[in-house]
Amino acid sequence: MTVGPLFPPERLAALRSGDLADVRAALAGLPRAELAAWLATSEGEAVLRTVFERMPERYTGGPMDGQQTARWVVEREPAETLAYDLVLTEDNCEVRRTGTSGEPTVTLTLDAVSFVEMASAAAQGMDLLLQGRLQIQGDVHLAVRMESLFGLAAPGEPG
Amino acid sequence: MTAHVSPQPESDPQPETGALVEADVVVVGGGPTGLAAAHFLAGHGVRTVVLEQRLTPSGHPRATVINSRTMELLRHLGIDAAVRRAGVPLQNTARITWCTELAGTELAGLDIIASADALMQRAVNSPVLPVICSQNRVEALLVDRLPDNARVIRGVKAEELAPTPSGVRVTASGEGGRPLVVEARYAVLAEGLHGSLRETVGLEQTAATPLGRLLDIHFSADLSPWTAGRESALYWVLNDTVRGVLVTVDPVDGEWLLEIPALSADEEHRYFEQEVDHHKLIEAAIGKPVDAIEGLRIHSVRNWVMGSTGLTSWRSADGRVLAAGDAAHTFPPTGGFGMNTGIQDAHNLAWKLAAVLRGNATDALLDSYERERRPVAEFNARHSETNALQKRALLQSDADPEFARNIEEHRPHFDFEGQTLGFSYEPGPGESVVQDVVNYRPTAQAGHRAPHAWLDRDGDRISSIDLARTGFALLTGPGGAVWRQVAQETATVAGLPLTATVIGTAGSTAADTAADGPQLRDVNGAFADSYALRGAEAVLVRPDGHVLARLPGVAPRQELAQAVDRIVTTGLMPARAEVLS
Repeated sequence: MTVGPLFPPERLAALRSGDLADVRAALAGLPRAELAAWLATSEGEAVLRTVFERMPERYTGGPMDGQQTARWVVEREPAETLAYDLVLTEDNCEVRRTGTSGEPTVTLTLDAVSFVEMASAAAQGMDLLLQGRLQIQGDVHLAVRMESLFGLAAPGEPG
Repeated sequence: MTAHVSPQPESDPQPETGALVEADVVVVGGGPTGLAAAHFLAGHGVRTVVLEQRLTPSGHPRATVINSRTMELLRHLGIDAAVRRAGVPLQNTARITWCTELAGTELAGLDIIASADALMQRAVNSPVLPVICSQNRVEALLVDRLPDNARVIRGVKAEELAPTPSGVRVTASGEGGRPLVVEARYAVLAEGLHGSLRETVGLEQTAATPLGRLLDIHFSADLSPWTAGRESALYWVLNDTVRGVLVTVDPVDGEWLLEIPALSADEEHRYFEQEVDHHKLIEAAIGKPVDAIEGLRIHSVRNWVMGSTGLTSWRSADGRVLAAGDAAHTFPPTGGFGMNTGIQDAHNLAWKLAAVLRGNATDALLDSYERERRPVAEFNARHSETNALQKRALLQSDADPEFARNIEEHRPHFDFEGQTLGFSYEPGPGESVVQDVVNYRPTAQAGHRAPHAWLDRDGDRISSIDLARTGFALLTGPGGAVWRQVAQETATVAGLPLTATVIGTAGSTAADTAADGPQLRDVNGAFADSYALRGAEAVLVRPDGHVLARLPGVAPRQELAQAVDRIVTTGLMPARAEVLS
């Protein structure tokens, strides 16, 4: 098991809360390397899995050309990479294990810290992409809609 | 008696007319070029006053394209995120559509960012993406973020520009009051195409044959029923009533610009010599009756002559007045280079004025402004003219199934990263300032924009283009540690700060970083690839982000002194093939 830094209980609770504002507050001032090390622990993995499981709650949907699969690949070296398929329709989002829904329409690959930042709207996918932290393959049009589909526009950005 | 007023923050009360304002530089014209000039000059510590006739920015969108290079400059001013928020979301700009009417048959489409690979490639070239954001919104943001040592005085018309023993005096008139006088060492005329001061200081206008007149209708409406699923930056419409382009200004709030060129004498007459029903034109462009277009409201209508204009010289004979932006050059809007070229003029000029004002460079440095910028402006003019003629021919062609066949030939009108990021100053004999309009190939040769590469510092990402934003920067690899010592000995170049940064290889880790070792790490090898430094070689980057020289590092102090001496005494960049030793 990977041993990571110990976070105070309040920070842990905020990271686990699923509340975007609380997660953003927990991330503020946290050195990137420290968070990366923690996300590589089993405790961090549990939080990442929870983020995925709760993504359907945030799904706002929108026009969709049939069913589309967005694969998320979250790297957390030295620990194992996490990957999920989000199967999207106009009004529904389902989280599945990869390989159960055919080829993805788009694949988004990023490090665990960037994933948490994006999932909490602490960072925008486009900024992460421009910084070389997020790679996309496949349908670019679906990729750039990802945040608006999950109501993850940055504070002040149009949703 | 006149009162002396020092420049104050923009939010301060306007000076009483009759006052004398003193500044280092007076900028005439508070459009994007003038405001950007104030920002860049103030960033170098130059006290700047901008005189603007309008009390508020124009509500008409005019220019809408902010290209990658301009976004990089806005990023350095800290307003790129705000401009992006005020602009059109990327998913609404990645396509160009041709159709009979917006609600009619689609004739052709051109994807600007057609694939994930194309987007990833753009992300390799720059830390920012181009944005569609209307000129009036950019102006408002530039005014809002103006630093303390720059000030805009609105509602005054600059009417006279006269020499003084130490510079210039601009006399402006306010409404109903006594004249306002600004005395400064230099004047930058960013007064637009129709300003009156250039001629008075001997800067004579030139004009190519106009390419026709355009009618612009700025309106609001909910067009989402006809744009959803094929969101585009531009929708070109071709039908029997209207042949023109619908420009996306704000698809979220439903703000649009319908631009209609007069393609024949008949259309000249129809659009400009008689009463025009603008609602009917919108109706014809959308292909729906007015009452089926929700929220339709026309804000403003403008007509203007499309063509290229220039000046015989960008600098007055006494050297104290320099023209920039539309005051120095205008082009057809096809390509969206007007506002961008103006803002980039200001960026090129600002550090040179700062160096001369500080007494650390000769006046000859200012001659390099026109020498470097005029060829870029002329290239942009020619390219925009070609675009305009091609679009005119396309608008006159038949809207039939054959239409889409050659649409790819129009890509350089809309997809021009090579022109945006790849232009160079003082290229070699016979070389164009732009080698390839569409494709950008990073190079750190003299004259080119120093390429972007992500560098890592303790997990944070810093772009290589950020290292020269307020002064000169030496960028070198692991073998160039000597340059840090050289930079410590030479704290300034031309009066502006000099820094040296040693950049470690992609594989290096924090543990490799000794006290005199790399300060930053090449994240993915892009720095090594694009800068191609050997041994102790360094690239000397100017404050405007262009490479001044490549210094071999054999005799570092001598190489630096030679490059610096040349720029501060003659404004000339070392010839590309010249080996400094």
